[in-house]
Amino acid sequence: MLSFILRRLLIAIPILFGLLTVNFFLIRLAPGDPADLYIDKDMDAEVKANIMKSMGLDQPVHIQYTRYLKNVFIDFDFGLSYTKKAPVKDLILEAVPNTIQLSLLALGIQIFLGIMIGIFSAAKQSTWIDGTARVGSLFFYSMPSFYLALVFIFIFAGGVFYIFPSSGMVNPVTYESMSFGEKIWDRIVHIFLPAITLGIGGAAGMSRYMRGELLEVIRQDYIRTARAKGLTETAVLFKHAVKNAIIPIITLIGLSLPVLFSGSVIIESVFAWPGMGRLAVEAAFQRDYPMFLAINLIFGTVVIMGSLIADILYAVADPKVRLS
Amino acid sequence: MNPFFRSLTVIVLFWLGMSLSLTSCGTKKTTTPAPGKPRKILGLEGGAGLVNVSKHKDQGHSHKVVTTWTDKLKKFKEEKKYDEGGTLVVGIKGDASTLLPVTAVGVTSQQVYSLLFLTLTTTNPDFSHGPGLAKSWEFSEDQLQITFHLNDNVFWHDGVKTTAHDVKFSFERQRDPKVAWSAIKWKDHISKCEVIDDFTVKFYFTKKYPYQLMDAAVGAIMPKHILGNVPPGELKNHSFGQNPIGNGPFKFKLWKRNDRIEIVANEKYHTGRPPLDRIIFRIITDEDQLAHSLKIGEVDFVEALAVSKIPRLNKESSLVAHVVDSRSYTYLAWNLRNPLFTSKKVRHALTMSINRKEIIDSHLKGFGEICKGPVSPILAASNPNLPEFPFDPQKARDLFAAEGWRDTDGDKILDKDGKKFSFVLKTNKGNSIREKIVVQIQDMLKQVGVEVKTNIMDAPVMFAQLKKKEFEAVVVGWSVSLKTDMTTLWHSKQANTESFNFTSYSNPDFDKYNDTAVMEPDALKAQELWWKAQEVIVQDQPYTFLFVPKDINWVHKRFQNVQMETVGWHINLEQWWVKKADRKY
Repeated sequence: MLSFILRRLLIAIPILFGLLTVNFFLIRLAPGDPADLYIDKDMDAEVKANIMKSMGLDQPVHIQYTRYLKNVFIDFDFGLSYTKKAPVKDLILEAVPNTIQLSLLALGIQIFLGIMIGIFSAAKQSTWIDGTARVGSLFFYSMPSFYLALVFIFIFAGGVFYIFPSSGMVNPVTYESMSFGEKIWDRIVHIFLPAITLGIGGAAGMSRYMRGELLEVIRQDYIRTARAKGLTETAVLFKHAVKNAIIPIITLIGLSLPVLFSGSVIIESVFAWPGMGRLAVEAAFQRDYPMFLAINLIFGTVVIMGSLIADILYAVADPKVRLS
Repeated sequence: MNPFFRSLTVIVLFWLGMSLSLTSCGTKKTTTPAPGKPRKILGLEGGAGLVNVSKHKDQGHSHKVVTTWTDKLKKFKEEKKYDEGGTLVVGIKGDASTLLPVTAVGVTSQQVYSLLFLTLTTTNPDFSHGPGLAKSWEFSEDQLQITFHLNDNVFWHDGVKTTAHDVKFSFERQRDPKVAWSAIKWKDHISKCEVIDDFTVKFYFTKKYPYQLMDAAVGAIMPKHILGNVPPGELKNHSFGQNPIGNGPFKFKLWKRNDRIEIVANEKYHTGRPPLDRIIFRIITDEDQLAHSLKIGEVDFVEALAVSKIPRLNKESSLVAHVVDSRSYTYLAWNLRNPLFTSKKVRHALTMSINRKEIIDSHLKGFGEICKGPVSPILAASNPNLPEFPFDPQKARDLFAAEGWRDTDGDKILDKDGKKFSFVLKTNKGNSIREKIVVQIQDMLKQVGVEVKTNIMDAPVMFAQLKKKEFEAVVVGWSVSLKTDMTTLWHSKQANTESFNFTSYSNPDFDKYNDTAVMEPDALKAQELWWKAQEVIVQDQPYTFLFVPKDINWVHKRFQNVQMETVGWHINLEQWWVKKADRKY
């Protein structure tokens, strides 16, 4: 198992290197350049040339590329963001924890809600519970997340009820003067709506998979055996059926990590959440090359890690699978 | 608070199409609060109050020290009929880049650092210059030198005194190409800056021209004792930009990237501390969220919120809307290299086919005026008697016919020599008003037999194409700086190069007027020339000038003494205050 993980991690290096290279040239091929950010009719060509020079963009592309690789792989320096005028590394290190918090909580919600609803739905197949769950999950699954965000904000954050703050990660006015406990509570209150919005679509999808898998398993002979042994229905369901039905779902968990990460792009904007998603969008629009490349590298890493986690979880859950 | 530099940064974002609101963070014409109850006008009905309009007119440039505005502030602080304390939460659409004035880009950076750093002069509502860091100044006999006398009681936030050495240092950095200050051009005609004594500094000019004072004063003064040893090329990397030490009415407190920036009252400010304790800039990129936050009171102030949000907010009795004219204008540019648009009459006809009033009514909900020419109506140099090309489709059809454009094959599209009158109209993505306008124009031109295909593009891509003149027609906007100079956009020397003269406009008459006006030190004579230059352009119609929008700034009513002026929403932020009983936090 350990050697499997190591090997996968080693394979990840050339993949990420390739991703970095492709992106490096692709973003430079996109029309418009970073100095166009200063779209100012009162500015000379000379000033623009100075700006380009200060960004190192006056050099031929191959020199820029080798310089960039050297900086990234030898000095671990991702450069200076053109638009934010601060080291990309610092900016990302500031934003990543915020996105991870949000994504992980959303993942938790997705797993918990998805699996629980799926189980209930399957256990009460063809009852009103099942019907409601199926319609409900279809509803949330097909709802665009930005719209769902607006609906939630309208209902729970000031429109109808004012239970949650409508945006931000903390209360900007009072946070600094709060006690530790209050700070924690403030963060919980703020993360609730964005996390639910981000997680609920995935939960809806997952509940449908879970229901399908469980219905499949319930028809198996060993379930009938379990029932024949006189086990309670709960024991049959959770000890025998769910354990087997959940294996394919586990794969989904690893794979939904990158989906949540990219989903956060929209959610972060609507909820004014200071995470990676917003950095990514701005970097792409403003041709902030160093920022764009670094963020893509992180997204790439998340995808690779996600699939690795999926494989590992699969091996853990299913004794038939051996990682070698 | 320097509006000139602000105008530069504004243009930047205007182009990026990060929605109309950003375009208007420049200066604006405004409204002063009516004494007593706010009045409701302009279709803003419901509970929200609205302040009435009292416009300050640009008085043209003057070299005098005008103290009416600063005297008012002084009196306000002396009388002290206000409560101290309270927090203002400002909702703003983008994060700052850096808070070091000389390398900062973007509206947010500018709004924040202008509260942290002083400039030599302040700009009054009528665009004249009042005391800032300098308490007075005078010109030499030959008008080639300006001597500034600085206040001797201004301290940097770390306790060190601000002196003439800081001014000289700032000037040297501003005009150093290695620093790449985006407004470097403003210092072109200043040969040197000399320290006479600790509180006297002299600027030397290479020639006499109308904007000498403006050019000397533009740009915030930075602390030499902190930044003096930083190599100019390294300034942009310096951590000072993340943790600035200024000398203005507010001090930097904290900056959480993409979340908020907090500044607090400077207790030791030389004219006394401002009444408000704190100002928090919250970064909220989503416009719907911004409007919602305002509505539920999580945010107290938003500048230039989209007009589409009015219906949601105008029932809120807790809000007051300030309507101000933005300094930007939106236009449709015709590529004069394209054979379709080479004829002046055809361009007249095109302008007359477009119902600009309807565009303003439908997409700006009436919050705008028809734009008549290339100089913003808020400037003294703007010509009020320009020829108009009112909406008249019949006359337009006649003009097209006179130029040989007829529908000979019955497809309802004009043609001439077998070629159809059909072109692509571009605009940038992300500006919802422009996106709607191009479709409306498409429809209007269809009525007169002109086929328009629309193309809504990524802003940087479109911009690169415009500079290379790779377009047929485009709807975009400019923000106008307080300095009248039409060279960059219209001069024939830029017509054939990659430049901001997108349309390749070239007219020797214009060149003549413009070149003389730029160098004319007499304001009245210059104005006459500018008027003529505008007439030439408007007669030529290289642009169909569309509209000058108004901005609606929303503020919570608990803030007293709010006055938003042409030169910026925060011009009297030092005087905003909250009654103790109304204080929220």
